Amino acid sequence: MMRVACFIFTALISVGSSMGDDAILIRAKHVLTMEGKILEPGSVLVRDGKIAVVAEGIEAQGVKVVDTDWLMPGLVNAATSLGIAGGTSEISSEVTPDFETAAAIDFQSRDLLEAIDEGITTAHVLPGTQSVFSGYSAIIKTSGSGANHSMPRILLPHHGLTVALSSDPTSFNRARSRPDSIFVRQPTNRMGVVWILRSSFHKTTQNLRASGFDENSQKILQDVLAGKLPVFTVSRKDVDIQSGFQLQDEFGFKPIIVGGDEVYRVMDAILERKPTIIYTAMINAANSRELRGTEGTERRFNVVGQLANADVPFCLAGEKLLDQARFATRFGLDRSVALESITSKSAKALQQDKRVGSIAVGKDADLLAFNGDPLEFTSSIQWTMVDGKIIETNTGR
Amino acid sequence: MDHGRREDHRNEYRPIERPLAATENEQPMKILRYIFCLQCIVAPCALVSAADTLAIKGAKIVTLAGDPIENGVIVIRDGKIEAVGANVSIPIEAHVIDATGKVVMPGFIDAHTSDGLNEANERNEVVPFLSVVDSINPVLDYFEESRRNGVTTAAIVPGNSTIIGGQAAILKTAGQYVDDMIVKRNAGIKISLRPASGTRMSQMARLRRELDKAKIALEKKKSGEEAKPEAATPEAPKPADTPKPEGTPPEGGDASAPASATPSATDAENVAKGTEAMLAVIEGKLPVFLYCDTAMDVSAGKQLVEEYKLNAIFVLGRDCYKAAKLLSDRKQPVILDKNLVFWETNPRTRKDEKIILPKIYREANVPFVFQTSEGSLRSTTTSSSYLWYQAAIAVKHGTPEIDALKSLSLVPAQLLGIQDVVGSIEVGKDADLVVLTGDPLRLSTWVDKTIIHGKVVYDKSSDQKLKRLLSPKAE
Repeated sequence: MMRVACFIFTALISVGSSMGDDAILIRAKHVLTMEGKILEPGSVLVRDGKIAVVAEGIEAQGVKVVDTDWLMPGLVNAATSLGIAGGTSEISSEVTPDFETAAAIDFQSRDLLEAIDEGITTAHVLPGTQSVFSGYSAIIKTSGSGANHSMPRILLPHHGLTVALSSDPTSFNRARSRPDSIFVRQPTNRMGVVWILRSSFHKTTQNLRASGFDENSQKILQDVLAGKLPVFTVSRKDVDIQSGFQLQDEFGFKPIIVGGDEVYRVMDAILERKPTIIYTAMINAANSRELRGTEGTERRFNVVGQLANADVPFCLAGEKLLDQARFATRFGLDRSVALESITSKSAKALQQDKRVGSIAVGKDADLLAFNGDPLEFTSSIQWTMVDGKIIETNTGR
Repeated sequence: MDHGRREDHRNEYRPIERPLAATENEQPMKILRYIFCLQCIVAPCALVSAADTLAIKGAKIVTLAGDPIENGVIVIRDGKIEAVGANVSIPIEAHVIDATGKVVMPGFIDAHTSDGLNEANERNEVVPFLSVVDSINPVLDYFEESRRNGVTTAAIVPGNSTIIGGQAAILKTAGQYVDDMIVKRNAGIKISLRPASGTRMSQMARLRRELDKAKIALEKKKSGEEAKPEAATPEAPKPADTPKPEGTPPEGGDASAPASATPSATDAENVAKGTEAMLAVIEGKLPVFLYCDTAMDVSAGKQLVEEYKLNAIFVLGRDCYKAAKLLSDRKQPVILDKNLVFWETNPRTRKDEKIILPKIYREANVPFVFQTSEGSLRSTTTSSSYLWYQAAIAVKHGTPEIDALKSLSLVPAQLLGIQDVVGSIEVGKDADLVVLTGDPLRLSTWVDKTIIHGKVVYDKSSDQKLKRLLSPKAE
């Protein structure tokens, strides 16, 4: 792999005409590879839904040629609920670890059209946070390949376990005095959330069945403790993040923080432990009302800049990814890091960096064409390519 | 949320109490006071000209009144622009701001906002006698954030939830007291076509009844009858929750003296004020901020405007785009919804559609200005929080850059009828300027200084709050 990479960046490359019908040569004035290199100009040859060649110039006969100004890899949204039809949480139970978001994704939903329109080609779909053990997250592509409709859009139905380490699961619950509602369930407070987590993991270590778990779901906890299944803990407040660290110390698994609104309050611990942070507070810090205030002393614009300087693995996720990267740059994050934090860093946080997140030979042909610098507010996406197929940006009515 | 907001202000008021308690340092205080008084007497003679003359040099000046001037000079005297151009000489007494490499634009104008008010909507639904001026709090975040973002003038307008809301006011965004900030006290009245309660039919009926009343009062006034303002309005304002009796006769005469209700002096005053305002509306002297929620409101609104000859400023909800063409013959700018781009699913065909408001209105030849989300400056870092961001989105979707820039300043000034005072960098206008660190609408461009009436009211280099927000450390 490395050898090829070294070779292809060097010079003009000629490619024979014995290529598949779907081969496309894209020539751009700027190619932002996210591999630490910007090609100006650059060319990318796409074949069979994969990136075949990347070079400053490619000469190829008999292929479709597309010209554009700026080219970058498709965006990876590392935490979203897009496409989930109906509710995102199973509210009848606080423990639903074997529920799958993959089973609930409606690929005809508008969410996916909007995602492609915003340049998102890969998405990590998490269940909601009304349950303590919410379920399996899935990694999907936002569009199927036109050439091969059977190509699965769900890349991984069981990517990781989502855990709500916040007060979210308590929000509607109440005590068991009047058992006339599904909300008569645990937990009713934050202590209960942490207790359910700790108790479940503890019983698993003792080979005991945890409360609310059956054989299948208990296996999930065993996989987590064996380090086979990543855990995504949705934590926004400083206490939530600290509780995650405590569980890490007690049980040995390393939670991936989703949310992270108040990481700046526990920065010393973050710098020491360097957890992976999927930061969703760039646009709306503190969606939850319980967070202390929405601005003033509680808001921080350049949290990700600090994470980047300290070499903490992070990425940006949630709504309006491009705008997040733009504002992150405006607030002090390095330009190239900002773009990486919605592409290659996101792919890395999801352990999908061998497949998506950058423009490199062998990776999925997920690309974005822009009419200007992608980080400028005034630039727009011309087309989004998913698995080698170009989808023109909707120009509205 | 609101609760938190109020608490903030309590905190801000608190320090004022402190000097009253401090009694120990009386002596030094007295001396200080003496020195201060002396200065007050001496200083004006010596410093007045220097303090009131400002020159900005070296910047690219986007005047919005002609081509941009490279490396230009603006001379400001007594808060007004005295000269602008490439070859303007700087008076010797002027305080000079070197803005080399920067860009100067006229201050931005927020054409429609309810931020800056303690509460946007009155619960009583017909309240033309109210004025936002009484509700404006100069220490609200809104004004500070406005200065930080280059907004120098704002039309503060009551919310969209009343039938006839109170009167709007146009203010500068800097000042200690509301009275220091006012550009236009009675700048318009809010009329909303979105049913506040009940049906659209009753909303329209009640609105027409109020307008008819005013019309009749105007006719009486014109025909020389000595109609007292009170006589024209049969209804005294009711307490918030009391429903209005339906079927009150529209003529004032017989209903004006209900024996049971003896309105207090304030009530009478309010009635008089309300009638006065409605008369001005009917005469076309007082603009109407006409809020249309859906496309059907646009045609209804247009009909009203024609029927009553209203001087209307259309404030459009996002669904009004379907009626964009109806507005093209007015040649008047409209105020767009804060959501400039959104998706919707056609309920009949189930087709998903992307709606781009600036594109639709531009194609329909309807000029537009922007507004920002309610409370947005306080809570979010991105999206529709900033006027300049809205302009950038318009450019992204095909609006020529110069037009987008004009809709930040010149167009809203024209729309609000204050173009003689603000909206462009021209001799004689108020020296309300934004010094930008680079070209407008660019990612890395920040407001470096905001100037109102020739006074620097915001300076990024001394903006402690911004520094704190950009620093990652918690206190």
